[in-house]
Amino acid sequence: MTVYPLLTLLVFLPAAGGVLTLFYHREARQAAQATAAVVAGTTLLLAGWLIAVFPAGVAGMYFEERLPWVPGLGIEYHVGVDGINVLLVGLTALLGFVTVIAPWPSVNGRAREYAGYLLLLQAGVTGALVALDLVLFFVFWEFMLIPMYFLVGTCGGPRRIEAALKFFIYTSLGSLLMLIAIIALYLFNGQQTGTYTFNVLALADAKVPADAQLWLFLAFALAFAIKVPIVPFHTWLPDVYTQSPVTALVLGTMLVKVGSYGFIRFGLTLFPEASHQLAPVIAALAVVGILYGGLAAIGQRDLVGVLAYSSIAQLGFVILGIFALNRQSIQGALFQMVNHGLSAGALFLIAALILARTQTTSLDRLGGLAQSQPVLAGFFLISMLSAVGLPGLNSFVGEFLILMGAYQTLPALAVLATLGVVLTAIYLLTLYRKTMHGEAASPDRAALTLTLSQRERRLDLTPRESIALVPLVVLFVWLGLFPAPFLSKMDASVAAVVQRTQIAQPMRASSEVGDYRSPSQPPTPDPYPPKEGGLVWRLPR
Amino acid sequence: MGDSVGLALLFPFLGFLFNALLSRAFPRGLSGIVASLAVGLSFVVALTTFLALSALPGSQQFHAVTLWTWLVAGDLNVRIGLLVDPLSSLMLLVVTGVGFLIHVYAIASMHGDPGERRFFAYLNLFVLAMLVLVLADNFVLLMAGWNGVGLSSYLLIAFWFERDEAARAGVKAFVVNAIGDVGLLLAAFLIFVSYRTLDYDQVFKAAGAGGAVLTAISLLLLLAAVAKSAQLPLYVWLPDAMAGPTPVSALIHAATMVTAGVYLIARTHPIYTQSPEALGIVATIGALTALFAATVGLVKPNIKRVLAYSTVSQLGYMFLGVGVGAFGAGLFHLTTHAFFKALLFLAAGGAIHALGGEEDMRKMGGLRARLPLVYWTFVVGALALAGFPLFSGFWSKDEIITATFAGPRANPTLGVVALVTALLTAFYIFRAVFLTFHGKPHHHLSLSEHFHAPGPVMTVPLVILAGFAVVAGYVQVLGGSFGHFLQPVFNRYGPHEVAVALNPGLLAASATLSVVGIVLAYVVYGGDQALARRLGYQFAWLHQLLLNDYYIEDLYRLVIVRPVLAVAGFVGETFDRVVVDGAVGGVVAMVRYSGAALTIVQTGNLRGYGLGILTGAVVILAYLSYLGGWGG
Repeated sequence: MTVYPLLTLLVFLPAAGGVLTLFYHREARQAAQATAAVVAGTTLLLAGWLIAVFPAGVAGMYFEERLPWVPGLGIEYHVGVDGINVLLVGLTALLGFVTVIAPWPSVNGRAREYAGYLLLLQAGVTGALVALDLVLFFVFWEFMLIPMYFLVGTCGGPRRIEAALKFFIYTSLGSLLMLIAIIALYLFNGQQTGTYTFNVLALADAKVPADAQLWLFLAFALAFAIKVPIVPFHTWLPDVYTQSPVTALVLGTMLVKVGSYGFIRFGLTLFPEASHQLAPVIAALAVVGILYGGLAAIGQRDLVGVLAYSSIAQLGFVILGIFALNRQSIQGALFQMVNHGLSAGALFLIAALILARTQTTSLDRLGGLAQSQPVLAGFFLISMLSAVGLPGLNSFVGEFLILMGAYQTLPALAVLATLGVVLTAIYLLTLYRKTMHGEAASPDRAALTLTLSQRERRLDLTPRESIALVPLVVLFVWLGLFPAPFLSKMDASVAAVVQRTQIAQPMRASSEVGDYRSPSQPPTPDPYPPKEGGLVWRLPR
Repeated sequence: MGDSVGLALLFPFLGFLFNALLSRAFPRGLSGIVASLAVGLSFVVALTTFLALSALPGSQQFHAVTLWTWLVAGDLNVRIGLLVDPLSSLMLLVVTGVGFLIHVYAIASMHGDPGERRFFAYLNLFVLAMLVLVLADNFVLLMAGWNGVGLSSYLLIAFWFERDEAARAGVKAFVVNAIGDVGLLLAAFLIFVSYRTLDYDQVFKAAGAGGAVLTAISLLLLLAAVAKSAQLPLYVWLPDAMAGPTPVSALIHAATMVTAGVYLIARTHPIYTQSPEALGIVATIGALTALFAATVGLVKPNIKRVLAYSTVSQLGYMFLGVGVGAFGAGLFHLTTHAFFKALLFLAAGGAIHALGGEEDMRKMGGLRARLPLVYWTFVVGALALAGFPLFSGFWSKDEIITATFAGPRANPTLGVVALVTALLTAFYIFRAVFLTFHGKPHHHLSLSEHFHAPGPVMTVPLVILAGFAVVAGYVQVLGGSFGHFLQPVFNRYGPHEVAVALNPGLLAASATLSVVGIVLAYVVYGGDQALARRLGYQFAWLHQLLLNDYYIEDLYRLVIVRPVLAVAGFVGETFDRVVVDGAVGGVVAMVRYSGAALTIVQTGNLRGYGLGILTGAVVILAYLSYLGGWGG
């Protein structure tokens, strides 16, 4: 069987497509759309194949590719997937596809830029997710800012420049510290072992003293915390979300997930002791985020504003799960990242459709849309219910595992977080009521309805709009009813991470927390020792 | 035999799918027929299951059916598993039986509504969720059904969503239920931490060892039960829930939803029986709610509201029953109540339908002549509810009262409360009878040709339900078979006597109170109502107090709803923008206005800025290469 560098394709196919469309003619909207759809579609098929063949119950890297990049420094082009990132890679491809086939916002004749930046964003996110070399990761991490920055800055709302700038300054600040920490870790490990490498799998075994670990971890954590974002580093997000083209946020939500992914892949793996030490603090901030974000979402008067703060609250659950440091909670957190991508993706897409129909996202001006748009209302309903965490749909699985896991290690925080579930129900149901329910009778709204019928000459979803939403809804139900096959793909890798944080903390009696007793698999050391200059492509058995 | 029980879930699921996705291709009238057929088939499954189960000896009446593995993470393993035993098969029978009649009734009453298809999709979803709830063999699947009925009730209460009040009532129901869901979630966490499993069977076996944690678990489960079954202090969603169509009220109040709390306590009895404190709280909440809701029901002018408060009150009886350890009596009352409350709602719906949607009893009056069948069936329901001798409610309510006075966990004080409530119950329901059907017609439609007399599709279910409202009690009295049938469930994890011998003295007392209540209602409301008005003036403060639910709603609005919204508004609009963002804004401003080096920023030249980023990245890489070259 021929072996292909699958991950490289997943990263560089959209990248090449993105660069290509940027060189299209200004007016070539159709061509840009078609190119984007073909590239994203192909990538999605490849990603689907990746998930289908990825085996369950194994830790360790698959589809690993390893090439020297700057050999003198030990920098490598090193990518791979394991249970931690495989689903996220698939999710990125799916959301990228949904974004480009969804109706495009009016981007002021900048279709080629819109297509190009979307594809580049997808490439950057995927690259950051699969990178196993810290420098490579950092390059992708920085790179993915650029298309997002331009998406907001060129295709966004009236305050787009301010928002883009804030986003950029904010996240760069975090990145800078992370870069310093990466170099410090590299030097430290080099001096200690004699091998200078940025390989995450190798650096994981570096014996960094506890106090140094703490500072390095903090530098990484700040970068991730800004990206996720964890309260109080979140204020860039509402601005960026409300100012960016709403459809682009379907993929844009993946950006923040690289932050939460980073906490697991780099935070917990490279600095297990520091993670353990700071876990209660970060988890507490996460719970503050759940409650604070939930309250702020209730107080919003704009559709996208509610969704923005809802993202902060939902990612709070994810961070709580990660820093509860046990198998249920981390699996839940990973699963919840996928769920949030799906449900927030669907909700942002619906917000974009509402915006296209009514020319507004203000909750004071919206209302009664379910009367004229029953199908849109149906999609909104099920997406909203997915985000609420209704059992039978996807998010329940993640939320339940997170809270159940957190309850075992951080019971007080878990109880507070569980109260956040009520806030979620309040703001999402109120959002639905204010947009879809009620009378569409005020003169203001009547005028809107009139504009709609004159402008769009359509009553409900077009087939294309439905096609963009259907895969998300199918996955709500699929992941909600049959999550076990997906959970089992993550299980062993998560167990290995958890094991690391436990070994790092022998002080903590294993009887203290029942979950730590028996991971089904022993921790897996790097199964593929570095080969000098070799290219390692592996197919799952 | 247990394997076929999955079909009971499959039919309503298919009905839901049909009405949600496909029914647009078919005539609208078909949706109600398909939905009714789906529940009817489920009922057939329920009946066969029930009969097959009763033929078996007690020890063989427990069947587990695993459909698939749901959640796996670490040592947590949750299956989509169903438990067929006497308790779940009884619930299955009640839910599908009463549910089926309500579906059939709804074919006629919802005919012509533009949302007919959506309505029947939701109705089937409701039954499906309730069946999942009662058939689940573990706490997580229970939660699925539990939240599922909460969702369906939201959808159906807000069915006429263009009415703001309906949309708000739906959200209120969902949110109050979500508070209860938190209780269920936390109970599940505590159970898992304590026993490393969430399967009923293993949990109940382990619970036999006792322990303080069981009290905590019981109280958390109680929070969930109180929210779902509309008990004090979380009853507030149920009276508003009548904003939905009448069949929805019937379904919520009788077959699905509110009975779930009672079922939960009965199902988790091995946990509750280990905690006398928790059971005591259940009984107290039940008795207080029964009394509270009955007093409020005395004065409400809206007929559906009176019935709603009567449900709250009757659920209080059921809580009292299970709280004094008489689980069989609580479930017996649950069953009889399902018949007579569905009957009362559907009969009231007949009157409302006839008057073009009028629900205010003060505007009804004199309907007896035009709606004889509706009248008589309503009276049968009222007699059953009032505990009139020999009607079904008489036997089941009396069993609870007897257990409260003479059971193993007797509490005579609560028994007195239950007796007083019995008197009030008879009074308020016959007030409704007299106001609605007797006296002079007040409604302009009463005598016109626009009066919609209900057709056979509506009346046949009424007659069937009326029949059950009369005879359902004899199942217990004649053969004692009701408690006998359930006995294996309550004996499984340790002996526990559920059957209570009826006490002739208490029977006589409650029969007397019931008759006195009806006579009093006749005295006050049977004639020209001068006495009613005089009492209203004389005790105006009391009247206002009751009319406003003792100002509980206002208290919530003042203490919880408004402050939360105010804080949310402040956080979302002011605090986050000004205070938290202020620091960052300051940084940005400083960058902006300091130094010519960053003029690109001010010109907004994005390309230049992007170039800057790329240049920066290149510089960093170059530096690293240099470092590497120097190091290597």
